[in-house]
Amino acid sequence: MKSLKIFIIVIVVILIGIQLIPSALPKNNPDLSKDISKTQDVTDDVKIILHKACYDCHSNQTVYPWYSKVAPSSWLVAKDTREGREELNFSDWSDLSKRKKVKYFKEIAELVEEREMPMKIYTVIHRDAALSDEEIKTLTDWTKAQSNLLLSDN
Amino acid sequence: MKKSGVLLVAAAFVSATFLQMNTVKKDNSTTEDTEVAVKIPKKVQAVIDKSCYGCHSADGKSDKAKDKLRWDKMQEYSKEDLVSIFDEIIEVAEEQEMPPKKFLEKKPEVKPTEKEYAALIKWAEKEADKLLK
Repeated sequence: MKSLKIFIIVIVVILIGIQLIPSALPKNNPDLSKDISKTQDVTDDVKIILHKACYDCHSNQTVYPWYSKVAPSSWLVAKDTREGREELNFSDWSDLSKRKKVKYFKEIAELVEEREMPMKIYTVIHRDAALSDEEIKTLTDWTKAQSNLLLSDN
Repeated sequence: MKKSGVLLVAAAFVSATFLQMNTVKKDNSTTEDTEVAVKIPKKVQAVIDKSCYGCHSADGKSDKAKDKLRWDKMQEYSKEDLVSIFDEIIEVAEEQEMPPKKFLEKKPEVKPTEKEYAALIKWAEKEADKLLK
């Protein structure tokens, strides 16, 4: 009984202690001037999909849930958001070259079709981010059309 | 005997012509999407042969490598695929991520020189720009 008490105290102390370690959640930025919606024709249905399934990690408009403020889950959220933004950031879309845009449109379609994105660990909690077959088709038809536009420009 | 021989040759000729027509038609439909043929200058081809072709062609042992890129199928990719491939080539050549380090430990002689990397990058940029024009 005594050892259980000590064990619980140790766990509580550790949990409190790790709150002092900064999680370094990437900062949000309300500036939309370089957002994909400014340079590409993002239809309303696609916008809804992007916002609910992609933007938390792939934009500067992350909606941080309560557990992102508490360690150790905050570390995971910080890591996924940081890596997601590094890989592709829809808030910086207009900085990309045409070549990169074509590549990203292709990769978005592939990863979403193969259900590698959004990540399982994300959709387990964000149930509405788990895309239906219909939503996947809406998104991939759109990426294909956008890509074709870029390839037939000029 | 002679007559049937002539007939046979004629039949073979006619069917060959039909077959050829079919092939031509098929070729047209597959290249339709690409429109621009990929041109690889000798200098770049030499780098590809030395450093890339072994894994990124039919005889390559890694499916992952072949999934990513097949140099022997360059003329079959769509425009969209090609632009993505060229971008990827530029990225991995700039970072010198390819050939993989582990592979180079066994075969250091296949690592492109700085000049060869530069030639590959310049070529891929030019080809991608051609497709995006």
